[in-house]
Parts: sequence; structure tokens; C-alpha cells
Amino acid sequence: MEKNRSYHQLLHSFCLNPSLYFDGQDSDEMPILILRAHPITQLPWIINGFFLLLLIFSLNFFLPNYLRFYQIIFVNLFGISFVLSYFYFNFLHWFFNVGIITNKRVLDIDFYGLIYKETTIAMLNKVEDITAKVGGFFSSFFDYGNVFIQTAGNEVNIEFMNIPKPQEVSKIINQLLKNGKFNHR
Amino acid sequence: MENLIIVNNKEILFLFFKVFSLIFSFLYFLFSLVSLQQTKVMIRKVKVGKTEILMFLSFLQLFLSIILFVMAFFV
Repeated sequence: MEKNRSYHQLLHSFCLNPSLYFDGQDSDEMPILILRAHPITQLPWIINGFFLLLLIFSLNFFLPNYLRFYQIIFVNLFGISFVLSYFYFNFLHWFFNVGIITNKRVLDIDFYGLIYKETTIAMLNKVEDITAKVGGFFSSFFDYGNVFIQTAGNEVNIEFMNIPKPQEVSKIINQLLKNGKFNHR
Repeated sequence: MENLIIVNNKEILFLFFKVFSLIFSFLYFLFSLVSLQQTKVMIRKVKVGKTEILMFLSFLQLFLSIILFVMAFFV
């Protein structure tokens, strides 16, 4: 991996040397890579949202037969804000479900729904095996897949799902392991 | 007599509409509130630039839900 190269924008799903701070970060710990699911994997909820908007729009042809004018306005406002919330919720879910690789450890931060969150941490010196898997037409075409990080002993295993450039991610982690010092920058 | 029955049916429909509007807009308000709290937690967990936009959107959602809840009383 190219040293000191920085490749990071806010909405990227593969951010190299990002400017980021996460809860529990040590003072001498430097994030090297942030990973999110590949944007193409988010297409289903975007399409669903647009279909819902179409549904609300088409309801306007039938509602005047049954409801008053201001009731129709209410239905439209409620429907539109519901769909916008649906978009926003799914965006938040994508944006904050991140995998972080630092010069010391690997973190997987997951938020499930609105209430549950899960943070999995594995120290780099405990990493034993890294497997990158790419399968299927879309995965091969858009170059995304899963990375499984197996750790020694009682440490938990970490999985990054649908992330872009899985081969490069495993290469970066391998290089960090080879360096041994776990100090990449 | 026929007209009277039709009017009554519509009134029942409007009553149902009002009740459901109130229930769903209240649920939406609760959802927005939880969503705002969760956004705060997420931002605290991972700070990646421009998080104030997300907070603004969460507050906007909450504001919209309050407007809808108030509106539901008058539909």
C-alpha cells in the first residue's frame, strides 16, 4: 500500500488515512482505513423509497373520492415525511456501520435498527488469518465483497460485509501485520 | 333517509381517519425522538466531519413530526 497516501471524502466507503475520531481511541492510535458497505449495495432501499413516493403520488388520484381537501394534504405530508425518514434512517445505517482499521486494532461498529449497537474489536497482534471473498456478478463487476478476520484465542472474529476492494483491504491488513510494529503511517 | 346514511358513513370514515392520523403521527413523533437520540449516540461513537448536518436533519425530522401531530388534531 502506498505510504502516506490519503484518499478520503465524507461519503466514500473506502477511506484511506481518514481524519476521524472514534470513541475509545488511544492518543497514539491512528486510523488507517474506514470501510462502509459499497454504495451499490444500498440500491434496494433507494429504489424502494422511490416506489413509495410513486405510490403516494398515485394515491392522489383516488383519495379525492373519499377524503376532504385538508385530509388529502395531511396524507401527502405524512407520506412524504415518512419516505424521507425512511431514506434518512437507511442513510444513517449505512454511514455509521463502519469498519475501522488502525495501527493497533481492527474495529467493527454495527448499529442494528434504532436501538442496538455492537462494537467488535480485535488487536492486530491477535489477527491470525484474513480471508477476502468476492462472489457473484454484481460483486465482481463493482469489486466488492466480504473480508473475514480470524483472531487467535478468545478474541472475537471480525467480518466486514459488502465492502469495496476486499483484496486491497486484506493486503493492507497483511502489510500491517508484516510491519509488526503496527505503525503504518 | 338514503342521504342520511351516506352522511353517517362519511362521518364514521372521517372519525377513523382522525383516530388513525393521531395514532400514526404520535408514533412518528416517537420514532423521530428515538432517531434523534440514536444520531447523537452514533456521532459520539464515530466523529467523521460534517456531523452537524446530520443533527440538523434529525431536528428537522422531529420538527416535522410535531407539525404533523398538531395537524392531526384538526383533520
